[in-house]
Amino acid sequence: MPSLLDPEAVDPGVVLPYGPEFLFVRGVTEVEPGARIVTWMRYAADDPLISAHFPGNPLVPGALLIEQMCQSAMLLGLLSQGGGNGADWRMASVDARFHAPGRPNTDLITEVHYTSHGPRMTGFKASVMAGDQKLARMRGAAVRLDR
Amino acid sequence: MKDGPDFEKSIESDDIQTRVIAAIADAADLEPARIELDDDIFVDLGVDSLGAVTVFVLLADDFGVREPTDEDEIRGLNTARKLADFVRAELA
Repeated sequence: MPSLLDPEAVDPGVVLPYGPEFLFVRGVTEVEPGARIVTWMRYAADDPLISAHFPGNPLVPGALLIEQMCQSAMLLGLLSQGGGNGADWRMASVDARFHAPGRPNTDLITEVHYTSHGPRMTGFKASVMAGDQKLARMRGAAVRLDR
Repeated sequence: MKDGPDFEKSIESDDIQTRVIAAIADAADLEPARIELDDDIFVDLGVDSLGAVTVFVLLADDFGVREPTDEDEIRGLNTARKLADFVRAELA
């Protein structure tokens, strides 16, 4: 299990329950268990998901920005409970806004804050930034399901 | 479910009740004015378990109330009236 005191040691691919093809968080730069997390993602221009959206004008699909925020929230949830001790998270609601397009070869920084955090139910706010520009933001609700 | 100006007017006088109904309306994908205080949110309004999570998280965000302790408590808080009473009790 990664150390919660060393966010750069957190491997999202180990903590999150996804295969590599569905991993939309590359790394963690800050984490306060039970409160907030900062993560990053970066797409190459020749990433097939990006180069097809759109050919000649590659943009990060908004759905992937939402997934990045949701995976970051799940990562915070799993790290807050000790690194994924046999629980699944399910999104209950997403309320998102888009502000600007995301481009490849850019660090896409996501910050998640809990707005409420109970034993099973969690509310959160998240955003994706590219430099100083906000690309998207959302509010979400999720529930932890014990396996 | 119910519509009508009198009903809308009565719930606007109670912020907790109004916000509870707004949370239920969001989860049920209905207009707030169509929700009656004693509608069963699961049976009459079709709110499912993830919809209930949405309701309780919205109430936690708005009022800082705790989440229900178990499934029985969730199933018991099945109307706008009971949910508003739950919020008031938690805030008391």
